[in-house]
Amino acid sequence: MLSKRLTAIGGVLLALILLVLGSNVEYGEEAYFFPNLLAYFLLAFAFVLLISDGDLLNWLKEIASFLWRWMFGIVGEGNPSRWPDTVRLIPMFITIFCYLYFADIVGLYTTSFITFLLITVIYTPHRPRSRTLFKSALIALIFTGVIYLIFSVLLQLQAPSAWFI
Amino acid sequence: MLEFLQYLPEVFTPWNFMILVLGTVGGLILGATPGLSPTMAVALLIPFTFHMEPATGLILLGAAYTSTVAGGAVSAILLSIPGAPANIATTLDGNPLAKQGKATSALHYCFISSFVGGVIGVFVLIFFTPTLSEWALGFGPSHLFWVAILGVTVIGTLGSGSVVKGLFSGFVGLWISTIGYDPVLGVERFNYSEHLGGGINIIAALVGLFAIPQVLSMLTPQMMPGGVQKFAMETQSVMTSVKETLQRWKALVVGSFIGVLVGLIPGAGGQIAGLVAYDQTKKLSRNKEMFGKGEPAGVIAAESANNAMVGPSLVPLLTLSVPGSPTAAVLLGGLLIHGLFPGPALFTEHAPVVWTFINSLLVGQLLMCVFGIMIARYSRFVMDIPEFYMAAAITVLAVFGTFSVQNSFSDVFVMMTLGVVMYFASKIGFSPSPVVLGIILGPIAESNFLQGQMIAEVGEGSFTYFFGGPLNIVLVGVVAMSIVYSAYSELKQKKQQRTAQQNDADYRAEQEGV
Amino acid sequence: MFSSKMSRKLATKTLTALGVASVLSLPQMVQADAFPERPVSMVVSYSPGGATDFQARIVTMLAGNESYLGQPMVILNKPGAGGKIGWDFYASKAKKNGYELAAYNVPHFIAQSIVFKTKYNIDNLEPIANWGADPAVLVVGKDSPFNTLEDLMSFAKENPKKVTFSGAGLYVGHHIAFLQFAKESGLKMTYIPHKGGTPAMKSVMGGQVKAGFNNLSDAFRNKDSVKILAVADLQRNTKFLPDVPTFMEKGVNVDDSSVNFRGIMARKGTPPEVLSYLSQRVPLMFEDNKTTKKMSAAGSPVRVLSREEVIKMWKEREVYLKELLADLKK
Repeated sequence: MLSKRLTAIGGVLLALILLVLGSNVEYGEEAYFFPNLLAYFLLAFAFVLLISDGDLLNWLKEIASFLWRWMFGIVGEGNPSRWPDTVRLIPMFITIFCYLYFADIVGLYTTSFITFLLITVIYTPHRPRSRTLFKSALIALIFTGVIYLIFSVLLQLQAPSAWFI
Repeated sequence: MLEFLQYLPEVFTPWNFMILVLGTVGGLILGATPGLSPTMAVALLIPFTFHMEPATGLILLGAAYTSTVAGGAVSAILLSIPGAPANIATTLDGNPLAKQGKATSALHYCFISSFVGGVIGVFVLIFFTPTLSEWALGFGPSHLFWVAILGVTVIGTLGSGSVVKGLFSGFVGLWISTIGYDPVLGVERFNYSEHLGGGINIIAALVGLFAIPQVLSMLTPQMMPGGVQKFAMETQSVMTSVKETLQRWKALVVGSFIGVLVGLIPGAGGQIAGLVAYDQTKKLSRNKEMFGKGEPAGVIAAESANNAMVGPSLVPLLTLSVPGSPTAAVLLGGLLIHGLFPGPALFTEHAPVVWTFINSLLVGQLLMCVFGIMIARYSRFVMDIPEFYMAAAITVLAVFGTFSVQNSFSDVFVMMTLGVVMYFASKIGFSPSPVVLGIILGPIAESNFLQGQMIAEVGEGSFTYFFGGPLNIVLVGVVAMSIVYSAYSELKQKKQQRTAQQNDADYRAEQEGV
Repeated sequence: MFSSKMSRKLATKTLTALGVASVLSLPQMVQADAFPERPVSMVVSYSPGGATDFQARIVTMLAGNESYLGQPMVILNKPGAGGKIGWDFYASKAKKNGYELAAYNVPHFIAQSIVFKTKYNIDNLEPIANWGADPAVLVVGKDSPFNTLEDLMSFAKENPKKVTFSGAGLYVGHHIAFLQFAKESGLKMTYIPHKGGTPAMKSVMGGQVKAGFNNLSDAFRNKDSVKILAVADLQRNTKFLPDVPTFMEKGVNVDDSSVNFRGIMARKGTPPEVLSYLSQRVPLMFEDNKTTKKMSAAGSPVRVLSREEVIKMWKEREVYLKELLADLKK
């Protein structure tokens, strides 16, 4: 067992050393393509060696399940009937991405209004109805107005020129 | 000496006083907004002072400086999002206090200790300016390097959990600070994307690291360590708060003293005043284990320090035109626009303007305390806002706050990226404060080390340069003491735990024996 | 406020469209007359409150006058990396319609375009006019043993590399002045870059360095705490420092290459009629009595140069800096 693991770790180290030797060369980068490719293969074989050791397979499984819980659930107990945290946050991440992407194309205040509205509509615990939607839109409008007053009027912030404000 | 009293009535002319009140209330609200730091508030207000009388303009800037520093504590306590780098230390105990249902008293402690610290700071400015400004000039690269190292020794104790995790995240912060263009070496480092060209802006990092994880955890109902938690706000009479604050006079004294000292040192970045004061108070306190879990002394030390810094940071500015903090550096521009050239002549040639300004700082401290306590009464309404509205509002505010620092979307991208990464890191027990402290200290430590090294090479040699001279020896001594004391108390705590476990085990063994 | 702003934007868009249409049918004069129909923005590559920023605010405060632009100018700060961030942004993202201008700092941006990979150089930018010139001066602390330039030079001769100089960073006016001084005097000295002019001045006052190069305006304001030994310019500054000699008077051939010129520029590709309109009107605005009064109250030397003069100055600087910095990089 120990000998097997040591051999495998040795193999990984060797492959890594070879890769380091082959990268960051001053000139003649193309000439290193084939040796580096071989080193990647070596690395892959060494990993297979590592994994084929039963203990390590279990270890990896533990790592994987920890990573899973870390990314998608809370470490510790969670309520299995609900969506995991990260899945719940996916719409938020998409909203943020679109917000930042479109902010200087469409307009900072317009996108802020839409983002505010989207977040409140997606994450409201109530069932979406036209009345709650209207309420959210009103609050979003007031909030964006206040933001406009503070930043553009009071602090003279120059919003980037875009389609709208 | 008492010349300042002569100009006190100037502050109370209707127009000046109105500007002072407006500046204070506005500053408190702006300061509580994540991303609007004192430096930025002053910078953004300078154009307004353009058309005002010099004294009135300076009153506005001074009021904004004083009250944004204190206002930043409101969001630090209620939401665990510091309004400015100076308020990081306030989150450490302020937010746990709020979660225990003592938000009102935490806010009271904060404004009362800000007032005490602030007044002490302004008195230092009034009475000791000529003496201390010469002393402040003596701080060279070697001394600033040691001050930064003193800051690094604080890092380990900031994380709520393990020291190693705190140090690890602190050093990640130090590494982050090396991104971008370095004016001392003249090179660009880790410039992988054009968004990183200007380096990581400290405000962008602060907002991202603190606000975004809070937003994300608001949207996920499951609790994470340090996450958002609804709490009710109690009612507490102001008198009780005053009494309780004054009972912790040791924290007040330590906080104000360190705030004054850090504020005086040009280039140390007043932002670390609160953290250093917090750390020292913790070390001197008898119940260390309460810190980080809602110890009022922590809030008092941090807040008295960062307001005590305001006055002294103007000491080297007004007499030598050397600013003691980043905000004071911006204030310099505000002075120059009105043709007020800092220097020894300032106090003779423009005495009415300067003394009115300094007096307004004094009166501003009182107004800040009064209005702050009034705002504390109404902040319960903030806590009644449903989470999803809160999350949406903080997201938009974070974007605006970050964008307005340098009119740069790159900063906004950096802020969001750091924030999302921090969210995942906080789920496994890392906290944002050491990272931000690392980002603040990195440039101070590095550029002063390099400058010192360059000077030492052609002068007396590195060892004598960095370790010679009384000031260096004192600073090295303080750093060494700080490290030794941390290690000692860590060991003592471990030993206590072990004996406790031992006792426990003995007890159990006895029980089983019986 | 939403709708009003939006409709205004729409209105301006229609107006622009109309303007474009009118260009096709009417003589060019009409378009030039109509040019500033909304506020003009100006990118400043340094933070608010800094010397470049507050000077820019002073010299543009009269832009709204009918006799100048008739529209206000709005300052947009984009600081970072010694100005590089703002200029990179300007040279790659700004619109070429004359409504988006920028402030320049010579020699900073020219030196940076030589040393670093930047998106800007003197060929893709068009100067409009110059408003100020802040020469570098050699300062020493008030307790320094050096009272004249000769004192300092003879000490430097006996103690090579021992004289340390502070300055506001690498490849800025102060650094250029230091390089020129070292090259022309043949002395070996050490340059310690600082993060900006104020910390550099502080190092001189606190005695952390033996000498320093700094802005004339800052040195003038601090004349109680420093001694000013020489000016790196062609002539003495008669207004602020009439008693301080130039390097040339002292026999060191340091010319005005390190003088920090500040002015307004546009992107290459801006319509020529807009450029000529701006370069006619802007210098008049700089020369207005109100502007110059406010500038001198703030201790900032004014030097108004026309577009043609600035084009010539930029070219000369680039040639000279290429040579000077080539020596440095080796």
